[in-house]
Order: sequence, then C-alpha cells, then structure tokens
Amino acid sequence: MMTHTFSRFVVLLAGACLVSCHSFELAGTTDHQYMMNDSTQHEIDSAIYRMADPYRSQLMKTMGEIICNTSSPLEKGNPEGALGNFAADVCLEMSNRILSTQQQSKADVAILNNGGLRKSLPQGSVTLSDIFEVFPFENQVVVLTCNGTLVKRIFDFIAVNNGTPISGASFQINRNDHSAETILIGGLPLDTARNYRVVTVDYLANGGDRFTDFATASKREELNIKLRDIMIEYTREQGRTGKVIVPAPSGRIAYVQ
Amino acid sequence: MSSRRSFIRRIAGASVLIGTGLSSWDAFGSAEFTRLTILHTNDVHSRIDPFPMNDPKYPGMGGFARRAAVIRRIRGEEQNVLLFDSGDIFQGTPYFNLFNGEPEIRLMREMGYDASAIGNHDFDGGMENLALRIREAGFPFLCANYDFTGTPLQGTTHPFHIFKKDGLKIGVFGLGIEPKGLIDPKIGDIIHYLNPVDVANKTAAYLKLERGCDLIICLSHLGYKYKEDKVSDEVIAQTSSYIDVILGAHTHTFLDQPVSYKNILGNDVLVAQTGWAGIRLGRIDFLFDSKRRKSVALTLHEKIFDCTIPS
Repeated sequence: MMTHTFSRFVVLLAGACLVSCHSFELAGTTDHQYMMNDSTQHEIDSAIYRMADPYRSQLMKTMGEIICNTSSPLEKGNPEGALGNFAADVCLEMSNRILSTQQQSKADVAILNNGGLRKSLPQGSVTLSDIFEVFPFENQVVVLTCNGTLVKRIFDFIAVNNGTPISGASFQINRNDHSAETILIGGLPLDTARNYRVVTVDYLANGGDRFTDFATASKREELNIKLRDIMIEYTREQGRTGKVIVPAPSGRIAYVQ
Repeated sequence: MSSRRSFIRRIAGASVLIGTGLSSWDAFGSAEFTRLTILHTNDVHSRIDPFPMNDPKYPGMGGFARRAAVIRRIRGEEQNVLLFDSGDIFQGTPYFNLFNGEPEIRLMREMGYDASAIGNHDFDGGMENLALRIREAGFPFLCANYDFTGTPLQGTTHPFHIFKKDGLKIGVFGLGIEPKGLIDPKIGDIIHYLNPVDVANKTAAYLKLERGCDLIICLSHLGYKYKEDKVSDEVIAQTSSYIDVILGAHTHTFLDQPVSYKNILGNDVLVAQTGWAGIRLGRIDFLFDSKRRKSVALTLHEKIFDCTIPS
C-alpha cells in the first residue's frame, strides 16, 4: 500500500512538472493514505483559554450542578435508542401531568426526532449542563390532534426513516417496503376511525425535519413549556427522590421481514 | 475542569511519504513552489470546552484552546495559512444559551479565522443576534445564495472574498442550506433562498474568469450527500466547473480525508468535512508552481483530543 501510494504520488508529480500547458488545473492529489502519528502534546493556547474564563466561570456556577444519576450511558440510535426512548417517555409523562392539571384529555403518543438530541447522557452523574447539551434548542411542547389515518401516515414516514424517538406506541418496520406494521397505541391496534393526541415539539409540528404531515393535524395546543424545561423538571425530581435513571427496555420499534 | 491538567494528544497525519523516507514537503522545498495551507472546521456548535470526560462518545475531545494551539503551531511552520469555518458555529452547549454566541465569535476572532459560512443554527439566536455577532467578528461571513434584502442581516454578509497570499489569489465563497424545515419559519421565510448549483457556478466562474483567482474554495453548509434528491456538496462538486475545494458541513460527516470528485470539465474537486464539535481540525495543503499552477494537494487531519489526567 505504501509503495503503491508513493509511486502514484511520483507519477502525478511528474505529470505536474512536465505538462506545462493547461494552466490552473489540479494535476492530482495524493492517495490520502496517511499514517496516523500518535504523538502527545502538552499544548493549549492559554490566551484563548483565559479569554473564555469569565464565560466559563459563570457557566460552571449555573450549569455545573449534578441533578440526577443514570445507571448506564444513554445514547441515541435507530430504529430506537435509550436516549430517544427516555426523552419521549419523559415528554409524554410530563405533558400528561400538565394536561391533567388543566383538566384536558391526555396525550396518547409522544413523537420527537433524533436530530433534536445533540449529545449522549453519561453514566453516573448528570449535570444541568448535560441536559442543556442534549436539549440545547428552545423548542416548545405542543399537542396535536391527529386522526388515525394521519397517525398511520406519520408512522409510515418514521418507518421509511428507520425510526424516531416515540413513547406510548410501538410498531414494526417492514424491511421490504419500509412501511409501519402492527402499530399499537396504548397497547391497542391503531384505529384509523378515531382521533389521537400526539405530543411533540413546535419544530416538528411546524414541519421541521420533514415532518410535513403534522401540518394537517386538526388541532394544535401549546403547552407553553420548553421540552428542555420538562426534562430538567423530571431529572431534578428523580435526583431529589434518589431515583436512578435506568434505560427503558427496548422493543418499541423493531424490524421485521 | 480548569483545575485538571490537560494535554493535547495530537494524532497528526504523518504522510506515507515520510514512512517511505521521503519527506513530503522537502521534495518541493525549492523556491519555485508556493505552499498554501488551508485549515478548516465545521459544526463546532458552541463546543468551547472539550466534551466532559464522562461523555460516552467523545470523552475529553475538542475544545477551542487546544485547537488554537494547533493552529498557532501550524502558523509557525507555514507561511501561507487560511483558516475557515463552514457554519453552525452556534448552539449545542450552554455557552450559547447563556451568551448568544458572543464567546464563540470572540474566540474565533482571536484565533484568526479568515472567513465563515452561515449554518442553519447560526440563526438560532435570531437575525439581529447573528447580525450583531457578524459585526463583532472582524472576519467576513460568506453566503452567495441567501438574499437578506429587507432583513436585519442586509449588508452584513458577502457572497465571496478574495484572499491574497504570497502573490496567490484565493477566491472563497459561501453557500447556505435551504431554510425550509431547518430554520425557524419566522426567519426562514424572509430569507430569499437561491439555487446553490446556479449560484455556485456563477460565482466560481466570476472568481476564476473575471477575477483571475488561482484557487477557488466553497464554504458550504449544504451537507455532504443525501440518499434523497437534495442538493449537497457531492452535487455541487459534480455540476461545477471552477471550484477546487468544497469545505463542507451540516451532516457532521467525519471524512478521514477529502473525497475527490470530477467536475463537468473532468477536473478534480476535493470535498472535505471534519465531523463536528471541533473534534478535528481539517487541513489541506496546496503547492503552486511559479506559473501558479496547482501541482499537488496534500491532506492532513489534526485530531484534537484532550487526554485529561485528573489532578
């Protein structure tokens, strides 16, 4: 490989030197096969580090607090992942808490997107900063009323995209045509004749991440709370009551032949 | 974190050529070649400090102070260095939630960034905020396919900039992604988005043919490539005539080295992207002979690790 790379490089170089017409053209590149040199350096730019200090100290003061603990790392994944399951479960549970205090009917399903989860949660101590880094966006929680046909269309879209964080539902992705099969909501088969209440974030409700079908929901209610804030409220509560966050069992989205 | 002793582990690209006994650059050390070093980042997402050591995926990696040290070292070694970012500077750590991009831009200015593209998340603090940060930056924000007329960003950005280094003219222009579905509609709807393929071709042709640039670089926030039919760096590369390098972003793609494509004239276009969060610093070096002909591109990736040892 080395010899091959070397000889190709020389050939290209020779070409570059001999062909003097055709100016400005890229004569060639190397094979880009570089050995990685594992040299360790004691190098930080202290001026740059110090320049961030006033911001850093304020950040540590407000964000360094440990707010809960996890039993294992939570990472996102497809068709499902521990982090997405956790975020969707908390979103559904906390939204329903808010809805019940407002004497509103509960949501059936939560649907989020992997793109909205920006970091993994570590094993052990979780700081407020970690929650901000997983959920940096200012997304608001909204409840959409969707008929069963629309819900089916959304699950088909999710299936084509190899899953997304969901809660309150399960389904299977047909590997052949990437359609959603065996959709269960609240443990019961999807009923296209009824309406479902879907909790999500305004970004997706507005058609973000290609969730354009949400635009056809028959009703939209704002819970007037950020997704991040309900995550913070929930994780603080877990920490305060000494409960360790344990990943939910997997299996809500699975592939079938 | 500040109490810990931090080290940088630099996994620098040591050329195979070095492995075979020929020092890559010494072979061209004579005066007839001019060397140009392009350094680049993308999707740094407010990762000012390294990822925490307990992060499952990127423990201790990244960080502005380490990247700055690597950049400073390279500037000490090379005469002609340009440093670019391809957008999504903002959003991802509480630094952005608390300070709206002020520290990111201050540090980038201090690190000597030469230009940046605009990413969809750079609008997350609103248009007025982005306009304020651009004015603070002291380096140009390049975007040739967003028309900001009538918005707070009108007059703050430029389609391209021409850098002069050691007699070389390097034309650099920026491309932004389609706002729909990615940028808050209140903002996205007032950006007049222009087709990146047409704009890229027109801008590159202008830089090449009218302005006589020796090298043309596109700072792109379009994304590397997509399964679906969507404009990407790959599409731009294959439909272009005069772009030499596309420094990409958005898809957070870790390309270990630039990927070479053929443009419509059959010439090479390099597409590079360095993942995200400042975990790596991308590097591409070009050699120009005395007739300003690009001869060879060498590429290296500096991986920025922080092997923090608890004190």
